[in-house]
Amino acid sequence: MAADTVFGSSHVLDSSSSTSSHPLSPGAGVVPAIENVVSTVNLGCTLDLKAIALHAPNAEYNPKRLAAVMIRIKEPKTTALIFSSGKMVCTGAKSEQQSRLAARKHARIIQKLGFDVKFNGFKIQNIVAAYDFTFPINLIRLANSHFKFSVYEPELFPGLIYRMKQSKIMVQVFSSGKIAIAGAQKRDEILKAFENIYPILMSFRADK
Amino acid sequence: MVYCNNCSRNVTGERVYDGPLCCTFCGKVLEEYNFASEPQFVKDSAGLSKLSGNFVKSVQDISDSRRRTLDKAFDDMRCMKDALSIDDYSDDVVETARRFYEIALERNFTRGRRSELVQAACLYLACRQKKKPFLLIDFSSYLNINVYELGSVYLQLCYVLYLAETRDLQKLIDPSIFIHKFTNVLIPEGNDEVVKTARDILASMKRDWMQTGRKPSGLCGAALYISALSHGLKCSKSDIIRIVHICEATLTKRLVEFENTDSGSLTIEELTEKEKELRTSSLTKKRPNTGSKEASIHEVLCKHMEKKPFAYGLCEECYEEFMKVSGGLDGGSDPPAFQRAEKERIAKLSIEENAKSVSGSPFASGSEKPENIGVSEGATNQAAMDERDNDKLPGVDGSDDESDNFSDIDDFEVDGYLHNEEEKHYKKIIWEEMNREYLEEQAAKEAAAAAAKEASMANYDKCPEDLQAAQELAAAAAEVVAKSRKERQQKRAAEAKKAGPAQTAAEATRRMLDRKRLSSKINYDALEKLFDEPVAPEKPKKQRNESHSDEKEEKVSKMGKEEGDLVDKYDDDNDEEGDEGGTFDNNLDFENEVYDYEDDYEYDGF
Repeated sequence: MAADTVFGSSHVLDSSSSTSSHPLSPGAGVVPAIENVVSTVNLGCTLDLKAIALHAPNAEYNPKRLAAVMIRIKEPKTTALIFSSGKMVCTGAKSEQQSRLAARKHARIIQKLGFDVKFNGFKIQNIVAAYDFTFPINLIRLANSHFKFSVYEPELFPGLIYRMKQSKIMVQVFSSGKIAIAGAQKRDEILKAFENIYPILMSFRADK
Repeated sequence: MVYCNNCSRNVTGERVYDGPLCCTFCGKVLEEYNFASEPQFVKDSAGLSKLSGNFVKSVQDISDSRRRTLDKAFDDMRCMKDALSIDDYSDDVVETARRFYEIALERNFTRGRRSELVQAACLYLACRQKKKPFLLIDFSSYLNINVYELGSVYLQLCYVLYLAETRDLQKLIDPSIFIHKFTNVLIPEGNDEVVKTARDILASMKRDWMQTGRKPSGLCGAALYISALSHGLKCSKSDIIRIVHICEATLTKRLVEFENTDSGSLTIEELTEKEKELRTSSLTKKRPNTGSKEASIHEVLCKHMEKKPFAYGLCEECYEEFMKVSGGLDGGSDPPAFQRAEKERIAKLSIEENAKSVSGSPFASGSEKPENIGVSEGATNQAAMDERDNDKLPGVDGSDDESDNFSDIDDFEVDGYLHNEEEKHYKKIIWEEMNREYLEEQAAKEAAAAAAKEASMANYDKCPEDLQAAQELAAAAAEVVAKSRKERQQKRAAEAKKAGPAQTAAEATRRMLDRKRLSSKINYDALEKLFDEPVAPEKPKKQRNESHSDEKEEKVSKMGKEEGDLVDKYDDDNDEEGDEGGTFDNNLDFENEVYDYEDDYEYDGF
């Protein structure tokens, strides 16, 4: 599948196939860069968190604050939260394959500590991507014209939060021209959201 | 709303006891008619007395408890309004807020949220609509809650009230409304000049796009500071910080940003001149240049559907409003956030260029070069790793063949992530030291569980003394352990469910006291002796308890408490774990009294 290749270089993909009639649609190869992938997996057995915390050097376990062990590995640079029920959350990876690889590495660590782990139900829960438009965006104007989708409360958060009606994807737009797309479970959801928001923001570009 | 000539404005009048109408602010009597509310009788033509007026079917569309909730909310909101001095003269804002609250109630928005949060959010929304200069931070500091928590409740409220759908430009805050308020706080005598200059400064800030993404209070603070200083008034940064609710670093940043804009280099007179010019020129209402990339819009995006679009897809009125709020889109077009991003981009570009030039030459000399090499190496490593990624996981599309043996993971690397024996030992010591409290709690819990188990085992053997001892032990251990409130509550709820109605008044009283959490201050032995009579439990409880309650009333009143309503409250049975024990809170605050009472009073028995 074409989606397996590293994101930035995908040029065959759908970014130009749909809504290409719009003059402001993103050209070929203009795609946001994925910054974070969050995934969960079930290791299939109960775990003794104290034993894990004591045997691994980069494990943190503060039972009063959170009932899970936090283990970090260097390659791919990720953090995993491991619960006593055997479920694990893996965050910090830069792509879906890396997230899977990292989850497997974490599971292997637990396996070496003597637990009978499996790798059930690996699922990507959230993908976060970022993109830089390199021109300033007037958030007030965006909030006025797209009031149905945008929430802009400068007292609470400096960015404007744009939620599409048809999907549950959320885009944060900042006045510096950078955006963050979050809430997707698959890569093409991100691409679709990006395609929707790109012409809107390009039309706001001020000609100096 | 009637006019009070003492306050010289319209006020909400208040009519006390159907009598004269008074001003709510100064108390002056505005109208003096007395109204009677009894039914009136008139004689008709035949000389028969008839009731004057018509019968009207009772229009009670909301239940009593709902009305009570609304009234309570109204009172709370009024208190909030007074505390923040939002509007001393009328209840308009609170009326609007009350209507929001009603709708929120109907949509079940108050369930699961603290009512004061919902009230504050409704009041803040009403202030926004009436353009009253109040920030979310004011409300959150009055209620002592996190401003972001209140903010999220407010956003959800907007969603529930469908306010997102309305094409309402006014939802966005215009920082200029705050200037007047802040100036009056800073300079109690009031100073129009300062206000005007501050407004001008703010308008120029808006044009330079300093406003996007910023809290309105920060900009106001900076504008006010500059304007006050330029008029010769002595005000320090800490004064401004106190009034405007921002920190010194933010204020400094805003001042620096303003300095960097074009208007920052003008003197005050030049600035005022420029603003006056702009204001007069905008009166000619020329259409702005919208730019070539914007598609032609034939219908307006604002709520005035029948008008034609003037600019940016808004009708004329809304366009004026938009210009006032945001300062327009021409001009600076250079928000400081964008400037910072640009600087970072340029810095990154220069690093990359250096790296490219360095990797061309074989040797790296100089201190900054190794960094750049690090960067470029990192980039190449990343690319290489990605390739390795793709080679390593050919069957990644959902197949779990290698799932359980993890043979694809490099063992050597994983071993590096595990401790050897010595490290394990040390880590154990360190961790136990750091988490000592938690371990102690766990140990106590286990001890209690073991004791309880023993108790149940002893129960099994049906041995009375051991049973009692084990029960006491279990009870004591359980007491020690159940420190957390949640556990105690759960325990109480479980016990209440298990135990059923109380057998004696003593037990009922004790239960009620336990529930009301006064247990540490009550001497239970005294309580036992209180009801120490040869009571046969078969006797009807009701009578017993009523006479008990009478006796109890006497005793309590003899203890010298002023709570006369205790007599009323103690009418019902003691069996039910009702709310009548509420007054007990006030009465049994003092340990001594309980003890003294025990000594002095002699129970006469029945």
